Amino acid sequence: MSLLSRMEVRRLARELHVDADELDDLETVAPEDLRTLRGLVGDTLQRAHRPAFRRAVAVTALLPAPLTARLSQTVVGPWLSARIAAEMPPDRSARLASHLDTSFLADVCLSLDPARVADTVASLSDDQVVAVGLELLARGEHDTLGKFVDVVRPAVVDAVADQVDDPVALLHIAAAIEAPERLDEVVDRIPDERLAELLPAAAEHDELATALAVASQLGPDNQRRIVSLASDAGPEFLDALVAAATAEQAWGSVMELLRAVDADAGD
Amino acid sequence: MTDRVLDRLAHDLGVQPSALAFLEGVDAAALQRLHAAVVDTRERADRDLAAAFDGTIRLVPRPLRGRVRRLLTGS
Repeated sequence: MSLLSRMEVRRLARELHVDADELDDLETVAPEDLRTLRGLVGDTLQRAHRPAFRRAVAVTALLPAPLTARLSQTVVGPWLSARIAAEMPPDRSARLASHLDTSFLADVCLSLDPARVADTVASLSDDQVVAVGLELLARGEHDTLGKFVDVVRPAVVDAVADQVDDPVALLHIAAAIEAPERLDEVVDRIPDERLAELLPAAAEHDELATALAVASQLGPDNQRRIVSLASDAGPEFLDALVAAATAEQAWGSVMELLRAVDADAGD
Repeated sequence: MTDRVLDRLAHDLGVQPSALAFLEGVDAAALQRLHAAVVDTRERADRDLAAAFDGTIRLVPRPLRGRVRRLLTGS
């Protein structure tokens, strides 16, 4: 069982409106396979109701955006709104979003597959996307924030990340970023001082396995940064790291990091 | 039993059972819960859509109500 598998099971459970506990036997499945499964489930639910979603989209062409927004918030709700938005032309959904409350948009994000609405998100103003991001941050929805990193502009990521005071929250957001190359870009822009705070905070909150899972997905330059900061964190930290790697069966992640250092030494 | 649940799940997800081979080691009861959750979510969406369409027809301004009803329900 890995942290990434656990995270994928939580996402699948949310998609299916069930408690993650009901699906926890799936945590033995590899995270990439669980992601495939989540994609298949999402596609199936979208496909099963696509004709109805498209009829709803046709109605949005008939009504003024403020009225559509009011209907979305009062009778349609966030789960269906998310799926209807995925069938809507991006410029129309962006116009509609400008009339929706930040809180409702945050609810919609919880049900959205970011990949389905990447064009819509690109059409929204950075200010609105940052406002929704900060609302998600205030709610502790780190997983959803991480998922959206793949489709928002870097300036938005920076604006929200600047407001993350808790290093463990930052770690949880990083762990939820799906595309390793985006994760690497985000970590690139985090200064060493902030990364250095993150490691002891992860140890203190029993989150070193999460830190290892994130670090193992980084590119070699950032892996070397992490190893260097970990080496500077002192023997107690390294003991805690070894204990976490053993307890969470995360030696694969540790070896991945050490290979980056070896490659550096060999250069 | 596991294979039959996997077959039903694959059918409902619109893929060949081989596409779900990675689930073969999962306990049959867990697969059954997963399959039930997929079916329940689809049925719940049916009900939520019907309620959302009814609410929309009721709340749109009267001059547009007929057109909206026709678009949403076809009648």
